[in-house]
Amino acid sequence: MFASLFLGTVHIPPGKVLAVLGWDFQSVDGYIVNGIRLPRVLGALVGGAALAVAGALYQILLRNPLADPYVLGIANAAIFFYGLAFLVGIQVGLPALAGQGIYVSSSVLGAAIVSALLLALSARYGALYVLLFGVALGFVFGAGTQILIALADVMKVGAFVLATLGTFSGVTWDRLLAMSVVCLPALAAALALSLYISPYVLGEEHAAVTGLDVRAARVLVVAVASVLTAMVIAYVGVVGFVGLVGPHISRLLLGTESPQRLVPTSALTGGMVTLAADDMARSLLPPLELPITAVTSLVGVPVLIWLLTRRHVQG
Amino acid sequence: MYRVRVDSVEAGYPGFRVRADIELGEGLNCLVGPNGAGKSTLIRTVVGLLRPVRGAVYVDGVNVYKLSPRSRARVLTALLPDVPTLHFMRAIDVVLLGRYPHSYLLYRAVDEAMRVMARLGIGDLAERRFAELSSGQRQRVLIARALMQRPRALLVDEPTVHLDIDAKVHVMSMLRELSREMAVLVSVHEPDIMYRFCDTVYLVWGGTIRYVGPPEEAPLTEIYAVPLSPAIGTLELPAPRGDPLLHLVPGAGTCTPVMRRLAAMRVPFSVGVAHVGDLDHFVAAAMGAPLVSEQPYAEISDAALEAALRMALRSRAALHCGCPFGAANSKNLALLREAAQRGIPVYSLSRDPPVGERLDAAGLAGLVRKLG
Repeated sequence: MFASLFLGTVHIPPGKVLAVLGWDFQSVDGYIVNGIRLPRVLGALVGGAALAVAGALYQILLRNPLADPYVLGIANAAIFFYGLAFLVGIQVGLPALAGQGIYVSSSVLGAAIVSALLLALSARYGALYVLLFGVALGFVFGAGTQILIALADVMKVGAFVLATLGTFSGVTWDRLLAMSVVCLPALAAALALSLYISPYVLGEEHAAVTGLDVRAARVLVVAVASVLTAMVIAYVGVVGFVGLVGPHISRLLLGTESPQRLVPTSALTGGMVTLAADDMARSLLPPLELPITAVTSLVGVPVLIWLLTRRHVQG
Repeated sequence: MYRVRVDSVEAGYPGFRVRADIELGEGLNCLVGPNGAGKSTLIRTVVGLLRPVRGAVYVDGVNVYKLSPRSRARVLTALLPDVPTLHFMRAIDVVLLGRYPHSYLLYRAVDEAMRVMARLGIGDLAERRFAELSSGQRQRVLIARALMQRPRALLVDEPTVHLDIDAKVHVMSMLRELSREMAVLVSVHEPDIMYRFCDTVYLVWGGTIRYVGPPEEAPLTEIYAVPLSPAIGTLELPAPRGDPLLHLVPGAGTCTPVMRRLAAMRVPFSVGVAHVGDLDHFVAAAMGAPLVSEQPYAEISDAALEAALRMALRSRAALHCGCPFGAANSKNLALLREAAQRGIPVYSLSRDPPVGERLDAAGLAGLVRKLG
C-alpha cells in the first residue's frame, strides 16, 4: 500500500512522501501525495474489497464459482440506470449524495431492480436458474445501454464511456467519503451476514434442515451484494474480474469455503488485487492510464489459472 | 421418549399426493415402499422442506410448522440422500454447522463436535477434507452434524443407497442406536435392511400408508413383483417359467445356491421332495418353482414320492444337490434311483455320489448347455 503512494507520473522521493504523508496539503508534493494519491489508494482498497465481497456473496448464494456481479447482470443494470441518468437525464432517486449523488442513487436503484427480479425468480425456480436469468438480464441491460449511447449526444457519450470505464484516477476525498459512507457499513453487514449464512455451503436443502432461513438469507445476501456493486460502479465505473478472482484467491490460498472465512479474506484479497492493478494501470504506460479492467483481467487471469492448476496438481 | 405425531399430513404437488397419519413408535421407524411412492416427499414435508397441502407435525405437542426455521432445527432435522459438494471443508467444519441452530459462533463448539465424532467412531477423520472421505464416512459425518443440532426427531432419507454392505450395516446400526435417544424415521427400500433393522414399518404405496407394524408381516409381495421371503429376509428371483429342464432333489439348504444360479440363467426347474422349514423349501416357495413338500422332520410319504417322481420324469435330468440321506429323506434316494432306472440322467453334487454321475458346482452351466 505504501509502495502505491510512491508511484505516479510525478516523481516524488520516498523520504519526501513519508515526510508529507497525512498532513501537508499545501506544498505541491504534499498535495499530490495527500490530495491525489492517498484517496486513490484508499478508494482502490475499499472498491476492491466491495467488489470481491459482493462476488464472494454471490458465489456462496449460487454455489457457483463463476458468479459475480457482472455475470449476474446486476452491474449491467447499474450501468444502464447510470446511463439513463447521465445521458438522458432521467433521474430516479434522491439527489442527496455528494457530486455523483444522482448517478449513485440511479445505479443502486438499477441494481436493486435486477436483484429483486432475480430473487423473485429464484424463490420460484431455485438458485440454479438465477445464474441463467442473470446472464440473460445482463445482455438485456447491456443492449439498453448501447441504445442509450446510440441516441445520446456525442460529447456526453465520451464522458459516459470514460466514467464507466473504470478508473480510480478520479477518486477525491469527497468521493471516497461518499463511497465509504455506504460501502463500509455494507462491508460490515457482509461480515455479520457471513456468520448468518454459514450453512449455505451445504446447499439450500441441507442448510434449511440445519436451521437457516433460506429465503431471508437470499434477500440479505443479494441486498448487501448489490449495494456494494452499485456503489463501486457509480463512483469508479466498471472494474471487472475482481469480484470473481478475489474470492478465488482467498479460497485457494486459505483452502476454505466457509462464508465466515471467505467473506473477510475476500475483502482483503479484493482490496490488494485492485490496488495492485491500479498501480499497474497508472505506471505501465505513463503518463497514460490504462482502464483498470484491462489490467485486472490481464494480470488476474494468469494468477487464477496458476492457482487453479497448482491445486489440481496437489490433488 | 419424544412423541412425534404426523397428523393427517397430505404432501405432494399438483398431480401427486401422499397422505400420512402416524405416530412414531419406539425403536427404528422405517418408511418402506417402491420408488416414486412418496417416501422422500413425506420426509421432506415432515421436516419442513416442502409445504404440506394440509396437516401438521407435532413433536411433544408443538406444531413444528409454526416454528421458525432455526427453532425447528433444534426440534427435528433430516439427513438428505444427496451429499453436499464441498471442495475444501474438513469433516469437522461440516459437523460444526450442526451447531448453527444454537449459536452463530460455530467454532466455540469444537469440543462438542469432537465428542460427537468420537462417539460415532470418526474422531480420527476430523481434520480430513469431507470431499476425500468414502461414502460411508461422509454419511457418518452428516449424522454427526445432525446430532450437533440435538434434535428430538431425526428423519433420514435413503441413508444406504450408495454404501457397500459393511457401511450399510454400520450406518443402520448407528441409526438404531440413536433411536434410543430420539425418534428416528428412516426411509428404506431394501428388504434385506428392513427385515434386519426396522422395528416398525410404515408401508407407503398408492398415495397413502397401507400398513403399520412389524417388518415380518409387511405385505411386500402385494407391492413388489420380485419374490421376498420374510423368514430369510432377502429377495429372490422368480422361478423361470416353462417346462422344467432339471428336477432338483433338495435337502438341508443344498439346493439354494443351485436354484439361484438357475433362476439367474433363466433355466426352468422343479424341486422335490423338500421338507417344510428347510432353507431349500423357503427359497423354492418364494421363487414359486414347482415344488413337492413334506412336513418338517417327517418321513417322506409315498404320495409325495410319487408326485416328485412324476416331476422328475417330465424333466431332462435329475440333480441331487448333495444332501446326505437319512431316516427322514431316504425316499429322495429312492426317487433318484427310480428316475435313473427309467432313463432319466441323474447327476449329483455330492462328493461321493450315492447315485448318478458326479458334478461339481462349476459344471452346472455346462450341464445346462448340454441338456438345453
